Amino acid sequence: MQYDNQCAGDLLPSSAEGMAVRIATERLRLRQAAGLCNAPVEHFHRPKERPFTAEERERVTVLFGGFTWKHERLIAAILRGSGYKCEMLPKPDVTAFAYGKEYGNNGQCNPTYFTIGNLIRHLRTLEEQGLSRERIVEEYIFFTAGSCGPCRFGMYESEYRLALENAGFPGFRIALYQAEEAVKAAAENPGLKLTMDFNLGALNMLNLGDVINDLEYRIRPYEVVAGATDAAVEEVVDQLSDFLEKRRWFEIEERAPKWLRGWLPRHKWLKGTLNTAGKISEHLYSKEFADRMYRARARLNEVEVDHLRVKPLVKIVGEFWAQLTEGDGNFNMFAFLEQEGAQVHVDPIAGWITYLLYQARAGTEVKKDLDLPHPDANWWEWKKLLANNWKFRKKWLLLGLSEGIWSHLFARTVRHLGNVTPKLISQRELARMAHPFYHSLARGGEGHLEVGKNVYYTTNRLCHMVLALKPFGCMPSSQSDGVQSAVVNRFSEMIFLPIETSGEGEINAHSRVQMALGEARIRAKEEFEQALESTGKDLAAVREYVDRHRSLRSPFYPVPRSSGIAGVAANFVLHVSNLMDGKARPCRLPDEIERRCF
Amino acid sequence: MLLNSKPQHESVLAAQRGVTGIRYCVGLDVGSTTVKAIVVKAGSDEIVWRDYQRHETRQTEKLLEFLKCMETEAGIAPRNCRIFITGSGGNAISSLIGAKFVQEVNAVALAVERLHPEVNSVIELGGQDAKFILFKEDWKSGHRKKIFSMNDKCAGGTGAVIDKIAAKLRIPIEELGRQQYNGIKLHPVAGKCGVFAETDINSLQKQGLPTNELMASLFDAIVLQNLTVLTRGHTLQPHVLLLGGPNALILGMREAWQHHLPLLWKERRVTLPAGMAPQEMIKTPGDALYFAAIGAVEFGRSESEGTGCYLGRSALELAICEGRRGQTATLGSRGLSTCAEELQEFRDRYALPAFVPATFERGEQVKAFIGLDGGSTSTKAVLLSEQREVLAKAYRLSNGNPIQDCMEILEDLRKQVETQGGATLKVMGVGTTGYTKDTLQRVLHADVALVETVAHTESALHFFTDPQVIVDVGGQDIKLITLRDGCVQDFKLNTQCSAGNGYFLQSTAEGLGIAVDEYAETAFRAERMPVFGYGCAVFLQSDIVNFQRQGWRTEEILAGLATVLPRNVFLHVAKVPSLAALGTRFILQGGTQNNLAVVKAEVDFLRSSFRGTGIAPEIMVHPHCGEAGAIGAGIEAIRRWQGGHVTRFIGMEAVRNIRYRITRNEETRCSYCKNACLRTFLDIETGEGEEGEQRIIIASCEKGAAEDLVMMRGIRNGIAAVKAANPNLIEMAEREVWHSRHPEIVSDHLPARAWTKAIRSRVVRMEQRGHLRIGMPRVLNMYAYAPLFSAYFESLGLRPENIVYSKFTTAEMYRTGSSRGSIDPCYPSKIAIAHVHDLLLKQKKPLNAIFFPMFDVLASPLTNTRANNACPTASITPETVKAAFTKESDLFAEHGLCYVNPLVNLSQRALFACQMFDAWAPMLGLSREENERAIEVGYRELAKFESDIRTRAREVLEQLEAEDRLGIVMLGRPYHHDSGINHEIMEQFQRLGYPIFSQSTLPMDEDLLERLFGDEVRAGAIHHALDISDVWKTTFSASSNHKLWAAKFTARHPGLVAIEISSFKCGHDAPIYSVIEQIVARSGTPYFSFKDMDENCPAGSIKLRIETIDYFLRRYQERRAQQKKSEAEIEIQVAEYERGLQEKQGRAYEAEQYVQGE
Repeated sequence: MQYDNQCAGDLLPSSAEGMAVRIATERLRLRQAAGLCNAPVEHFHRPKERPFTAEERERVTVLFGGFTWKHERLIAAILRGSGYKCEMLPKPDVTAFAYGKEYGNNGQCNPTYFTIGNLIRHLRTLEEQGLSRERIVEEYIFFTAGSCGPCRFGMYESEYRLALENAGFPGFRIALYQAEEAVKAAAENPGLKLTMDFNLGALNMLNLGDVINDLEYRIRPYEVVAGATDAAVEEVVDQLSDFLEKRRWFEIEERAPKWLRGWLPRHKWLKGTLNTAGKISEHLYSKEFADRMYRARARLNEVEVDHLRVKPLVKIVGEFWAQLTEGDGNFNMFAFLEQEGAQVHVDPIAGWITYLLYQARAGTEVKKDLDLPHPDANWWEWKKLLANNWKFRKKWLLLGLSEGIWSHLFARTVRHLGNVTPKLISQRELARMAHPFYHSLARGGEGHLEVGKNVYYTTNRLCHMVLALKPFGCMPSSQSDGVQSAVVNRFSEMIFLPIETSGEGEINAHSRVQMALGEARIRAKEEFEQALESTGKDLAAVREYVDRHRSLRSPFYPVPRSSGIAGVAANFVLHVSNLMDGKARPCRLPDEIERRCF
Repeated sequence: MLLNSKPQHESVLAAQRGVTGIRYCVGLDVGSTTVKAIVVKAGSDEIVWRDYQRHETRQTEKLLEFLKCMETEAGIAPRNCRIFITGSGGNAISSLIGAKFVQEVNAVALAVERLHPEVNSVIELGGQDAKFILFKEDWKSGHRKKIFSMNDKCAGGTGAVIDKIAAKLRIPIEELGRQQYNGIKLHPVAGKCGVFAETDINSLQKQGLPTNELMASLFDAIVLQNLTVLTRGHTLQPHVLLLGGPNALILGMREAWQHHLPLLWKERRVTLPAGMAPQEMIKTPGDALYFAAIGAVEFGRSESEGTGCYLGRSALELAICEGRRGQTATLGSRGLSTCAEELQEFRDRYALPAFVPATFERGEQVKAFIGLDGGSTSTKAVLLSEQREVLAKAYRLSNGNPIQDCMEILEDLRKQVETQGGATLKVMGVGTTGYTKDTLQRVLHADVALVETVAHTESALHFFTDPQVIVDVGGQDIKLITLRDGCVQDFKLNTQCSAGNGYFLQSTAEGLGIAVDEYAETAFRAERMPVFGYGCAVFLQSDIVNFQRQGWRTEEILAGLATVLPRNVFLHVAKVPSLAALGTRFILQGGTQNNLAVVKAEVDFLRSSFRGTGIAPEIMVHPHCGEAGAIGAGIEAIRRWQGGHVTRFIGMEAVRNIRYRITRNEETRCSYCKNACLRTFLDIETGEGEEGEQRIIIASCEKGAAEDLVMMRGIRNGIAAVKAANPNLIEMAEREVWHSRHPEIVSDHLPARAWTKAIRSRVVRMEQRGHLRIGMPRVLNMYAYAPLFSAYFESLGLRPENIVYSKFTTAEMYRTGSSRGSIDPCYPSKIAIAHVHDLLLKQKKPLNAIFFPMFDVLASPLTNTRANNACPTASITPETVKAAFTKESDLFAEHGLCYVNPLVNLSQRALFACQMFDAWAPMLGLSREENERAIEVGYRELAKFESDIRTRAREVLEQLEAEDRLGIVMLGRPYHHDSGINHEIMEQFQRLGYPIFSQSTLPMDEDLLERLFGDEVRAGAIHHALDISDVWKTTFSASSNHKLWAAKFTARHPGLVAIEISSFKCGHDAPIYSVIEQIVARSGTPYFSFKDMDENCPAGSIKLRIETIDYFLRRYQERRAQQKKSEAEIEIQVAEYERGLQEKQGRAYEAEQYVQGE
């Protein structure tokens, strides 16, 4: 502002603009004197997210957690093998839960409190070890799964950020597996790059983790030497992690014959295709990988089992995290059930993947007549009809194919690891069984799965009791529980118990489990006694026969199932009786089968 | 842990070897409040010894006592008996005595099967457990299946609640058993939770109701609670066995079951065995207390001989004396202080000096002001000088009658003055506050009745400079008030849950034999303490039993409980995840802060919460914690007096002579509306003649306060005038959404020729449309989309009168219709069963179908969202409702109607059309074309309805702006329009003079959006006025998205304030709580909330919140008016200044011209 005139000791503005500035200044002064706020209202905006870039990869540690320790060690191997620094979070416990409740919004569902609290607790531990908060925020990132379904899980990314801010870690980065595009969009060169090697490694990790987890719960209740299973599983997981971390990835330029190497860079499409095919073959079908699995199986086979122990079979269903975690998050339910003399049937994560694929396919079926390229096509206009049909079929087949491939790969892992754990259940079958009670296209959480599995396992006599683990505040799981009251009435043989896992009240929850388990135990006992009675043999005689045959004490001995009998001991005693009577031939152990194959 | 470890000593083997000499079998039931035991002769059913005793939280010690008695009186000994143990405390103890554990429900089931094979249902109520067993015969196999259920975590509806209330009403244990139910008048009491029940009982007690009516009401509530929740929707089939302490020992409990079950059987058409009265089928056997113990023995019969051999008492004695101490030394956390120095430092800083009352000269006339705080559990009074010094104070535990309490406490104050050498008291003014403030004001003619929150704020402001957070913890209430520059910004109250209050600590300490005055000293002695989970007081109670069993001592438990209190206050009740955001100067007040252990825990908690922020909070304790409210009320009276107000107080002499009569019976029942509420008449005599007489009517609404019809009409007209001046858009939407839209008829014409069977069938169905009656429940998202569906059906030829909706939600409807539910989701979802029950069973003219769509995806006007999903709880509710009505038999089929619940996606019109066609073509004989036309009509009418209501909202908003007044936006989902769910909170605000909007009725006119959001759109912060991506990233939930947008709208509109309403267990609201608050509060707009709302309507607490909010809004309005006035004055000054400048400039110009001219 220029002052070019002076009057009575005051400067006068020469222009209209100058006048306006003077007036505004005076207004400001008067407002300040009157105590009025002069600053414009700063409305709330969500904090900007910082990207994780490739340049930071070497100094930033990826934190992750939320699965079983078996899965997590394998994930760590994949991450490290892909060049990331990573750390597993400790198993979430009640202390973590308390942190989650303290710093998160009130009224969240239980897994959120545990997982968010676990992250905060770990960051606090890092701080106690001498790292400053600034360094923690700069040098660590949390990697978790995302979702976009109606369940509030999809909204929890924001919840993580809020709780971290409240706990004193504002700006701490959260990377979502599903929203990888968002990471990409935020950074030109993203830190987390989901390459084909990473994705195929993750696929192997999930399948291996699932099958080993299942094997652990199948073997341990029958182990002759206490602790033998845990030791074997620990060793097996270590070996497989080591393999996944250190294996060399397939690169066509390294593996191709010399004559092809010079030619490949000029034919990118061919190079890409061959590289992809090579990676798929190497990751999923290499002999080296199969050998590692055989070795794992051989180690587990060293655990001697006694299948004549009568144990009620408890199938676990419920919300994804509550039925997976092995600690306070579900009241240490698996350990408790085993302590109470039950055998636990856990669910594989792979089943969840096929569920998502199936839901997408079923959703496509519903919409097949919508958004057609030629909605008014007449019956004789076959090209248009074909085009209409192709639009739907293309997606439908792709999803169906993905589901099939996933199931096939899972079955392959099952086969290589002893062939005693079950393959994935047909999602169509589960949906069919659940639909009369719970609409199979209703979305959110596990949708119809809990109902479907309850009916499936009961009607196929695959367990004595179904235990649903539902976290406090889980909306789909609670509604599913409401529907189960009708399901239980429809199937007279069903023993079903829902347990709400809230982080508090473990004793009460255990008591309720004992209540239902008492009934299941009676059923398993009756089943065994009837089976034994039907053989006309003395248990001592059966045991003596088993003692004489080492293969019958192998955890991989494939005991044939008799119709309508769920219990391992009951099926086993019938089979052994048949062996004693010469009515059946001994089943071959997987090792024996492979010896023939190779 | 020793308790769980298996004894490895020789005696185990020895005992197992010596099983041949077994003479007795012992059944032990170690419960949460009692121990029961029987000794049975081996190989027979003969019970040779039995006992039942309360263990008073000393479970293990009581068991030891029992074992000693059994050894001396029944002759049991190691090697001669086997023990089978059950009950919640049984498992942990079993290994110490060699007993085999059996879960209690299994034990009871075994006993019932053995002793009462005719019984089909069992209800066992224990100290903290409730169990339900249904024996259901499978007609195929003939096998009796058992359906079990136990209370989850909550001890609501169990003996614990009865015990607590009985203790509160001072009913001795021996009299409790004689309490009756039949023929006694009942009042509404919440049985859902012990804490809620206590709140209701408190309120009823203050109305002067007799104890027997309160207890009968409690029995009624407990039975209904168990029928609704425990049975998980199953019908108790006759014969019914009532077991457990409360059922066996309390006559009224048995009578309540015998009253309710026959009604239930009648309603559900249960076939009863012939020749017996229904009441005879509900029985309590003589040994009802011992069924679990009997069942344990029964369980033992099927176990192998070596199982459960008694090992003697030695391991148990060892565990009690020494063993458990070792465990607790490593468990839990350190005590309340780390060392003596730290404790001393704390005491020096926070221990309050003892209050020294003022002394007066002989014959002095003491001019003073009275502040009176009539709280829920106690009454407090102070005498203040003109200089606001506390001269005297008095405290009195409430005896249930506020007038009597008031008379006694004022007499106490008077004596404190007048016993000092003949000084006399002259009262210059009286202020009241607390729960009974209005009644006391009218009785005493007090000068002011101040809302508690305000009174506490006034008090803190008097004693401290710039207090920022007031933490008031009273007997039952918790208040957290945040201030900025001496003005209240926000406050949080415990709306429903009393967890974290002082009364719980007091009663627990007394239960453990420690007087409340000794609490802190006792707790400070603990070097370590158990870690309690925070939350409901009833859960804490069960934790106490568990911790005692683990060996924690009284002082350690008290220390642990003190530590829970701040967590309950800040995390559970106030729900504040970041305390530093509230402020840094904390004032602790309320009676509970007299407990130094609590203060220590609070100080530590607050300091740890600030860890990492780099700021140390200042924490101060109010010098008169317990009387802070009374002081605030007294200060307000002084202020009025200083403003020239002359007191109308009746005088101390008149107070001494108050005579009153309380009447609450059929004669006082209100007849001014259909609710016919019971009222309480207080007839007060404070002097001679008519002037000294008055009648105070305590009623649940304003109209009820009228003595006669003329007065009532006056009140009603007054209300109507206020309502007319302050439109309530929520009320309009709630009513009008169900009105017929009288849409265009778009159905096909009847086919002229019906040659095929399919066409003939279609013709029949088309012809039936005119008579078809379709019912729809008034619940959930129907509050938003009913116009679409009604228009759809009407446009297809259904008559408007045949589109039937269930009744509006009421507490009575929920009570009678929801008992088939098996889960406990949010209230808006739970109520759906009651609505369908209403459609199914309460319609005069039967329906042909009930239509209850499952909303998968909703329609949304917002832009740039990632999805518009409905909440899964709301979506799946129609399936849980279907389950409830089909689980025992298909009630829909039995009533000849179809239940139609298609999954619908409202955001994709074509898909929605397909879904509706699939659902309705079979019944209506639809063609695809007419279905699509009807869908179009439906959407059109929905848009018209929304547009109509928004147009009216715009008019109200303009009027508001023109009059420069405040309006309230209810940030709540569409179903929060339901006055049965929002408990008419918004209507109460309307009556206080605020127009009411809701998130879905806010206008969306272009010009308005441009005014509010235009700058941000142009700056690129958002793409559109209806874009919320600037505040929320994960925009998946349609209603949450809309709520966030409405919060943004409110924050940007100067005439609106926000009140957020949210239901308990709302999964889609919880993630956005903080964001909503930040959006509104960051702009300086007042934000208040009513969260965790459910079927329980805590009227007192709601009233307190409304009054407080109203007070703060009026202050806000005053500040705004003052600000506007200042701004207007400034503008005048600026105009003056501008003129001055122009004049100077003009003169300067002239001077310049002159110089140039020269």
